[in-house]
Amino acid sequence: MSTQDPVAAFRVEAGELLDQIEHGLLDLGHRLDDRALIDEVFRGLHTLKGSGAMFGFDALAEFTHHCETAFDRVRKGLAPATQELVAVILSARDHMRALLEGDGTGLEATGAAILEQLQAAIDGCAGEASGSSASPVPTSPAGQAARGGWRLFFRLPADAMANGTNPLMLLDELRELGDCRIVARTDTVPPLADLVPTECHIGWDVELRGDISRDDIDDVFIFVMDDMELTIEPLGDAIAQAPPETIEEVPVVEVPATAQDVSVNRVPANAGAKTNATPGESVRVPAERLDELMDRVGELVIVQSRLSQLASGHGSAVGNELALRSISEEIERLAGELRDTMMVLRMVPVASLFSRFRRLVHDLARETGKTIELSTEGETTEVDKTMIERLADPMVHLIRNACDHGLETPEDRLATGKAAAGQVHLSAHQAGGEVLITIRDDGRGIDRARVRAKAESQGLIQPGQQVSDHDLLQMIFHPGFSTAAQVTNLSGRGVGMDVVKRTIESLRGAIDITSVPGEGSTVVLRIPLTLAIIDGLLVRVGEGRYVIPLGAVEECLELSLEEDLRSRGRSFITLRDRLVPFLRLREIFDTGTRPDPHQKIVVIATGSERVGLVVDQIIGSHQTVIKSMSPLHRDVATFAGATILGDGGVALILDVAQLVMLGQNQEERLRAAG
Amino acid sequence: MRQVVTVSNTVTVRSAHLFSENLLDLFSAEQDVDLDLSELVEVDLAFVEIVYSAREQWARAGRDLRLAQPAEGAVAALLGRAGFLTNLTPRDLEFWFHGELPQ
Repeated sequence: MSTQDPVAAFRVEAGELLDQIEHGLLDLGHRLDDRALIDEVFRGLHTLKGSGAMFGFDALAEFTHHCETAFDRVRKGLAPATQELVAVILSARDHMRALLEGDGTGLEATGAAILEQLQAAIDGCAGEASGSSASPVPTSPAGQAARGGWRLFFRLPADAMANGTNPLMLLDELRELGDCRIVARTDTVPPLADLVPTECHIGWDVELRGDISRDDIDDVFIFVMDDMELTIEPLGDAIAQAPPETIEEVPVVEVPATAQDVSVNRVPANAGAKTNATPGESVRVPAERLDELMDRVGELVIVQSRLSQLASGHGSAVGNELALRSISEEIERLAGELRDTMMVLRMVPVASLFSRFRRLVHDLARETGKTIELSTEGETTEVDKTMIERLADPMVHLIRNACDHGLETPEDRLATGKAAAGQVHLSAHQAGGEVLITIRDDGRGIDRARVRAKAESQGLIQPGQQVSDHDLLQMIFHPGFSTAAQVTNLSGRGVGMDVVKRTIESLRGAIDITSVPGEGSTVVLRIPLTLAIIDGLLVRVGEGRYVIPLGAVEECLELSLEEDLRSRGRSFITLRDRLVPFLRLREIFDTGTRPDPHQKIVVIATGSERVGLVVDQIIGSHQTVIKSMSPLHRDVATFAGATILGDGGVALILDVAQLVMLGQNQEERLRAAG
Repeated sequence: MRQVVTVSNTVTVRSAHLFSENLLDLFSAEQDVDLDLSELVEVDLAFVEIVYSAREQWARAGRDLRLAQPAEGAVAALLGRAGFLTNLTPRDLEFWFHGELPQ
């Protein structure tokens, strides 16, 4: 994302703000009388409204304004926070996201309906405010109106303007509260030579007359209050009732009443909404990690300078060779460190993934009428950002399954001696080069009898066939397999688990499932830490070189010429009493070359499925930096990407999941042919 | 020696550095300055603050910085909106409006 594009930056920040609002609301759902949460949600709405208007998202600003106004009643204790209100504002928050991501067209009716619900939720419980469990705003002296008005002095932090705060807006807001007299103070503005031009040293004396509460004034400064200089005191009666001092004011200078009337740096209306709706991807990087990167780059520059010196020097051949070797070793070390540091920059805590599911579980609980508690563990575990994005959909599906099919109704749970509230637990931890993400529920567990019946009816197993418990559970990953007695909006359509498995495997990961009847199910996703660099096995097929992800390689075998001839037409090898299909990559890639006399079989596996890949030569292990395929080749299923080798050549990276599927298909065809 | 400096287009917090540096260059050249604001379209508080600050610096050095014409338009509106015209001192009245309140 370019720093030149403020609208894109706004979209990112607004997205984060909406996430904060959502988390605040979800927490509020558990603690309806938590004042801090109410204030937090209000501040989020207030900021979104203001910044939305500034960046030309008028529909968003207007809609958020209505929500803010309604929620302000809760904040002021005029209406209690209720579950219904939280639910409506959550749906309002979803609408805000839709307004943020689109241009608002066609969303007016939805917005109006949500605002109606919001009004009804507020009106319906406004009378309960005083008697409800929700605590109204404490009536502190600060919350009361001072007789006559207030006298203020304020000066913003010096960097306020540079950070986007416009003092004129604050003055306008004060004017909106009542009769207002504003005097600017320039006594602390330094001489030009000492002035940082972006800093603001102007202070303001303000007299506000009217029935104005302290809260109203605090609201004006709500986002800058922490760092600013602000004094507020009630105007004495004598002052308040006295006619305003004779002040010589310039009559012809019309002070605009609202921000809209004046020229401010405002992006043209909806300019942002009409641009690309997808926010640019960005990663927040801790400063110390950038410092580390800078250190490495600094060292690299020094080594490069040594190399230049050597290239232009006149030292002895022996001396030069030693120096060159030392530089080479230094560069190798730095390249390794740079790679490691760079990889860490892409890592984000898995908390950003887990936090998305709080809302999902909240909504699922409402839809199913179940009581569901979500707990998480290991949120600080870090995973590559790309991985986080690609894990989201499969995890949504797994959590939906757990909530919809796994967990019982509160009545059923109580009848079996369980707590009424069902538990869904998400955890993450790192194990070597992998991250294990676990989704566990304490529901009824997978019904083996139903899985077996379904598998038999689909012809996946023969009636009465002996199948291990592990293999039986794996059936649920078969395309079109669902044991749900009732198809709901949430799950049970027989699509999903196979897609989940394929997605995880496409990430070079694996999925395991265990289940105990009556106690619940556990799904474990094993995924690599990163998608950017892998350990690979470099092989040659014909004249081309290919990389097989090392994590998928089980073993390498020699394929003798005799065995090759004997197996032709069958393409199976016997591996520890088990038939394993193999694919001749030379034929698949149509290399047009003769087979090497000492061909090798590289056995690769995903889960329990194995397949052998016949290659001409195994070159060795290779640290592989994964590059995306060009758009022209993106649909070539057999390859997961490409990499550049040390000699500048290109090697394609094999897609293990696809090749295993290809091998399985071949096996089925051959079996069907007898 | 007196120099007329035309301040054009926009002086806001984003472009304040440039305006400030130009003024400092003029100060180093020991010049009296007339600021011509007739081409100024957009200003914010950064502009007003720099002008106040520069005026002070010129005054301390015994030199003169003034406006070529009385403030009007965006500048006058900003001064009003920001509370600079309440309790206007004679010195400020002279500086911004050449001693005569606009009618």
